[in-house]
Amino acid sequence: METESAQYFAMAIAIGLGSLGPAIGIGLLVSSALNSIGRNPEAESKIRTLMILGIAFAEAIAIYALVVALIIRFV
Amino acid sequence: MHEISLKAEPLFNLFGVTITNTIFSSVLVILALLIVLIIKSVGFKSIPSGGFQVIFEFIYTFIGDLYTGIMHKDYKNSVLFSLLFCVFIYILMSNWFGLLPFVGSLMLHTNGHQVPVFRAPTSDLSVTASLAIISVLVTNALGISFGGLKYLTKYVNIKSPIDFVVGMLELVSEIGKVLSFSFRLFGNVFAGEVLLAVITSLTYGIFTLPFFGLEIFVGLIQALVFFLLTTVFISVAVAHE
Repeated sequence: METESAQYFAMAIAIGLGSLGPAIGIGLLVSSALNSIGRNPEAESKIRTLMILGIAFAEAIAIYALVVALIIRFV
Repeated sequence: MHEISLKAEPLFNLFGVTITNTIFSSVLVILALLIVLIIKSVGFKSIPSGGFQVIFEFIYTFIGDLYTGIMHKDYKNSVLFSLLFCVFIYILMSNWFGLLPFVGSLMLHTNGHQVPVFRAPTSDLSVTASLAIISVLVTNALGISFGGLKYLTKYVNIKSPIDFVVGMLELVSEIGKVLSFSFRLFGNVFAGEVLLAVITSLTYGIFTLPFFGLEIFVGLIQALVFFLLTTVFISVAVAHE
């Protein structure tokens, strides 16, 4: 297999597998945030700020995988 | 489709320093922000009448309320909030700079190949790494300034073996913060650039609008997240009183 096609495969696998974990993590985060807002509607803005923060942390892992995929292809 | 380069492409040499297109764009963004804000702020009145003052004060109070919600201190006379707001506005305008029409398409022809003259500053890992290092250094500096040198015993704790290991892990975690700040911002903006380059080479005109909308949204969220995370880390570092 030449380097070029191996690069394409590696890029696809890197971002494909790398976004599984963060997707599940963000789903869990948002689900528990929605649960707690349903239980306590007054604290909505506090919960919303913390949820966005948590989503940013989880999303960063997916971005690491994306950067690795881009480095494989373009460097 | 013009070739996508992870590194910033050099434009010219100035007194021996290579100026890349992201440095040039960053200087443009800062100059534009300075000129517009200084000129417009001269005309600010106590009862706002112009549209610009209303919009700017809305953004300022919105971010300020986020700051107050995390730090539990008033934002109105706070020097720290001014610094964090500057970082937020700079990152926001740098992210959105990559969406302007002439960015990425206006080319300079040097040495046989062509180089885009403008590029979003935050799509360069150097810029985002610098911002990340500034944030983490400011966090630790504020921790030392509020808690004295005892703040450093968070990292180097010779009381007991397990405290020492925990201190080492805290140090590693600080480096992890620098990496995660820089790669989160860089990855989002650079991936957005790649996405836009691919989409504009596939379709044209109105079909590219949803992707530009996505980029506007992502640019705003990433600037907000950088600001919020820095504020949260500062509030944690300062609370060790």
